[in-house]
Amino acid sequence: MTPPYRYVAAWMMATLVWAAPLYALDAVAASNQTPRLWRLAAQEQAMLEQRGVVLHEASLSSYLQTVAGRLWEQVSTDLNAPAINVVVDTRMEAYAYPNGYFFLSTGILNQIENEDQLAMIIAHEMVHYVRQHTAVLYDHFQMSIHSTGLSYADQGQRDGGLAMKLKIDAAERQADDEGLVILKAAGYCETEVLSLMSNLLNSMLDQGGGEAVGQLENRIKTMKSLIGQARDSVSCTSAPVGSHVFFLNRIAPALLANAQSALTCGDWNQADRSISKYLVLNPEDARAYYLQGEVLRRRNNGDGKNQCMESYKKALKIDPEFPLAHRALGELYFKAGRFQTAKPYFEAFLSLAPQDDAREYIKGYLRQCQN
Amino acid sequence: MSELTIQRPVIFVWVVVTLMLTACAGPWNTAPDRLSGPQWSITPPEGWMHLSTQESEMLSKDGPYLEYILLQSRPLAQRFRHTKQKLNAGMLPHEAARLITDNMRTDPLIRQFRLLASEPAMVGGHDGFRLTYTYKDPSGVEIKTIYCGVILPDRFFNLRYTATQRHYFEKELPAFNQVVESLRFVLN
Repeated sequence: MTPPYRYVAAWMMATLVWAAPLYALDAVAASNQTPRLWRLAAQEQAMLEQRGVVLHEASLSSYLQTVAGRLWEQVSTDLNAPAINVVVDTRMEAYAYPNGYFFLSTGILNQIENEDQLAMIIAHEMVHYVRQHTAVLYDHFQMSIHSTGLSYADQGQRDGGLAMKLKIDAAERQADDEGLVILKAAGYCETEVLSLMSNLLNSMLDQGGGEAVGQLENRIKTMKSLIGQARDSVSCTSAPVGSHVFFLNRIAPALLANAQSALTCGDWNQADRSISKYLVLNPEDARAYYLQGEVLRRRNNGDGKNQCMESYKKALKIDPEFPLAHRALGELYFKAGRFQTAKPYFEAFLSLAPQDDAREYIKGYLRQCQN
Repeated sequence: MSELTIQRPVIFVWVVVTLMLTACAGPWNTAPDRLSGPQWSITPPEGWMHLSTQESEMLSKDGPYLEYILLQSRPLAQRFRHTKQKLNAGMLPHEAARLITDNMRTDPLIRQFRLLASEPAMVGGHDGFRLTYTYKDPSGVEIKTIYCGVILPDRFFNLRYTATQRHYFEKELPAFNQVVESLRFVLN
């Protein structure tokens, strides 16, 4: 294969995976490029592992596989059952690789309220996988290149990319339609889908909207007509409060990871949302209170000390040996010039976390406290 | 046919990018004996080349793809490219250091970021920090950086040395250390 074809394949994978544009086909079609696309998919997955962004939590993985298994029983195909993975990423994303590896971001899990909503997302991705949309779109554009003589880049630009957009929309519609059928057949509540989409739409608007807002609004309209409902928000009688609590407990590790990631990104609202949801069910988690304190402290650029101090103190009440809360309190008192108050916190931190990255800094601050 | 049609836009983009870069920045010149800005001055290594842009000063001996020293003095309120966190004048050195590593960790083009060391350091006579980290660029080349930073009353000053891990990093590290030692601030 000549190098340009390799670039085309790589570009196609990137577009399909990250922008989630998938092409619809009336029947399942195996591309003659399937082995190659699967290999590229495996390379991308290895890269995610190398970046250390794949969340490995046995209880979470087991739960996601159980939900996927229930849905997969409704699908007639020779393909292997999908493997559901979680990637630590605050963006709201779910995507299916052609080799059956699905990735849900912690950002999208943060938006989901119950198992029915989670099931719809997995069912939607299952359709993309079963229909092998990635391979089909790849083949379609390859054929187009040969028949028109246009380059791949020119193909994408033809009609302002309209042809591609139409195919993507068709794929999404197909995944919504057939995903809904799988969802219902598996006994999940279909009306929860509208609540999920409404939540996603609100989050998109909070984050400044963009082109995807219009697309999602159109999908909500279509979904409403499919479900036969016309109200903006519909609750499902088969999804009692207990199921919400059960669900949050199962995805708790993803919420905590998302809070940490959102903190790194400086996305205070999302960090706050994740940590608040987590704390409702895990009120005895020192790390969660520490993260809550960090959100409050960093969001306010060091102001609002009382609020964050309270969170750090709660963390220490739960676990008096939690080193990061000692360090945070020491820093707050140190910056306020209360060196004698800061000193025991710094000492405790150094004794509890002698290998921490910040140890040399804290030793320096401690020396200043002693002078 | 396919190769030609693919290469054409690539060449076009390359030309446009080159033109844009040359429009924004002057050409590379031999570094002066002493390089200075409104609040700082350094002694560049002898025989190195210098490129001045609106936001930074760059020095390199063998070309920026192999090694470079970058100096930047930016307003504290200026946003970072990846993290939305902001620096402020009341931050302790390690809090500023953490923000810099958070920004690196959220950069999608950086792969396998590894923080090797984060230490307090005197930067131009002020309490600052010194980070040592490695990562892989989008081409898979292993890069190593030493990043010295300090929060000044209204600005964040940083001086970094970046080079390919193999061969070049160790070779020019003494030159960078001399630049750090030569740094002087002139603050009101």
